[in-house]
Amino acid sequence: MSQVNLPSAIPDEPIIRECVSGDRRSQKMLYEKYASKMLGVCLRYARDYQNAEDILQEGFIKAFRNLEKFRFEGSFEGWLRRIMINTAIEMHRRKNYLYPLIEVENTDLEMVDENAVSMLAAEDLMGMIMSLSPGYRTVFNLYAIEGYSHKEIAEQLNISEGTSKSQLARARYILMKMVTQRTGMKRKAIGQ
Amino acid sequence: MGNNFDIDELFRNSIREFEAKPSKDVWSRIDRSLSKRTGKAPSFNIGRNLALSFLFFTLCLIPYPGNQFASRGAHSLQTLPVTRLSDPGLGLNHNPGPIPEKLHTGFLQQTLQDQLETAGQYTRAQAKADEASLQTGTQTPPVPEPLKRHDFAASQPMSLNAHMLSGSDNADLNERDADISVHSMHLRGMSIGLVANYNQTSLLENENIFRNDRSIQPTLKFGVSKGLSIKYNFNNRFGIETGYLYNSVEGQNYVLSDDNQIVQKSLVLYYDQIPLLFDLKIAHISCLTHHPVSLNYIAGVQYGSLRQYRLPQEKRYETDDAQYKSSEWSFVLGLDYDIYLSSNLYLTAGARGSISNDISTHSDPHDQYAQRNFVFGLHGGLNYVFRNF
Repeated sequence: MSQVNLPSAIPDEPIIRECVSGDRRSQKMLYEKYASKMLGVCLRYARDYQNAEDILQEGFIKAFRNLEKFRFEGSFEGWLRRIMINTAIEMHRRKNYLYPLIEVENTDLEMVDENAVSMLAAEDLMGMIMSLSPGYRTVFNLYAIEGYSHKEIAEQLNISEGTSKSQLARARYILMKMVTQRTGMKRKAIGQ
Repeated sequence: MGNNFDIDELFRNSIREFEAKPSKDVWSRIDRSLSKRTGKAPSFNIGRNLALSFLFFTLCLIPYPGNQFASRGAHSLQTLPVTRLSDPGLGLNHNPGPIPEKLHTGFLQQTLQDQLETAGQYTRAQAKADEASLQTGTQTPPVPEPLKRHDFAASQPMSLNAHMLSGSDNADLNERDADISVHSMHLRGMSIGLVANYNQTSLLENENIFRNDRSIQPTLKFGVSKGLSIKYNFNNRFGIETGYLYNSVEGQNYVLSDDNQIVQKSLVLYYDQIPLLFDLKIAHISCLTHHPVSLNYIAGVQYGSLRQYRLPQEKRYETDDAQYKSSEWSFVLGLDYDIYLSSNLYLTAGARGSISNDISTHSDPHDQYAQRNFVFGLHGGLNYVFRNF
């Protein structure tokens, strides 16, 4: 097999240093080490698989071009993840559909069976995320998954903190609805 | 059962580490993009700066064509023919006769001494001895050999020529005397003037061609500065200059070249600047204006105080901290002409360039590399001299 076999135990630093010098083989090694993880990140911000691969491609190109800026002070995975997120946001912004306001019908929430929820596969949840509109998806990802504050999200997306909060609330509402529908539980929410 | 479970946590725990295998052609596309990148020429910004710097320093190194002026009848300090005044063939080994009084006083006497001292190998005492010999008709001590090498015929300046003329030549001097007597070469004195610069300015270099992960293409940016200039010429050879430039524009224009759109951006910094410059002068009398013209090689430092700056809106990593330092220090080189219009008024025209220290505070995590203001442009001014020629 001529395929490059890269155990995840191989440290990043020597590979990165080779990548900085332009060694294509090392770049491919680094790509293969992180491509799957990063595609997982991209999928959360993408509308479909093809779009996620586009983000992945552009993100890796930027990463290789900027690799000399990585100072080995934090984890490379975190640095790469941030580039992917930024790339995804910019690609959405470029197409001007980052913040379409979708009116959420004011339907009652339904009871959720937590045991059933725990049975949901990651693929199911990923599908739910991807079905959100880009604005909701991005804010929810940044807040709930990446751990950004509303202030940071507002700065990142050039929106107000209030907009970030309202988008998050709507995203949560929609996701909750999807989860309850998926788990098949149809009960009125408490207090509704 | 309940709906009070944490939906954030549900998704965070389930999909944060979600992985998916990309199709094989993703790497192929990355590989192709990186290959294109490898063959990319140096950025326009670097190329332009190098070209301008090369042009600038080439101009500085070109020898000043003093002989051309001299052969056309103008004075030239650079080609001063400090020759033994009694050398054979120069018309001085015979009785020189009376020297016109006008030539013994005022500009000519001073000019002769200035010129000889400028040559660096001729002392004031020797000059006096020569002058005395002119009056008494005796020969002067020999002048050091290196000073004889100039071709007198090709470069005879009017001031020295006048000394060398015999009495029978006095009639020929009449017209020239009138001219010479009002156009001497005394540049010593203080002047104050209004100056303006029209600069091409850049800030971002190769290391900064990515802003927030987006590639940029630097483009030309022009800026104007204006202010006051105060100069003092110690003599015909050296001078010092300072001043105050108000609201000098520096920064960088660039475009974000995305797939679907090209957006023009402008990064602008406004400085108040105080230069401290030293001038090395090469002066002569212009055959056109019959007033001094001085070629000045300029070098020095410049302090800049940042008044304000304007960042492009797309910059996502703007922080509350200042992005740029409040002070800027620059190294300045220049080449310009002082063109005297009258005994008290002269124009300055030339070119100047400067490069600053790193002005970035690096508060933006994507701006880890040095950002130096590189400024190159035209310089002009109108100056008034507080003295009489």
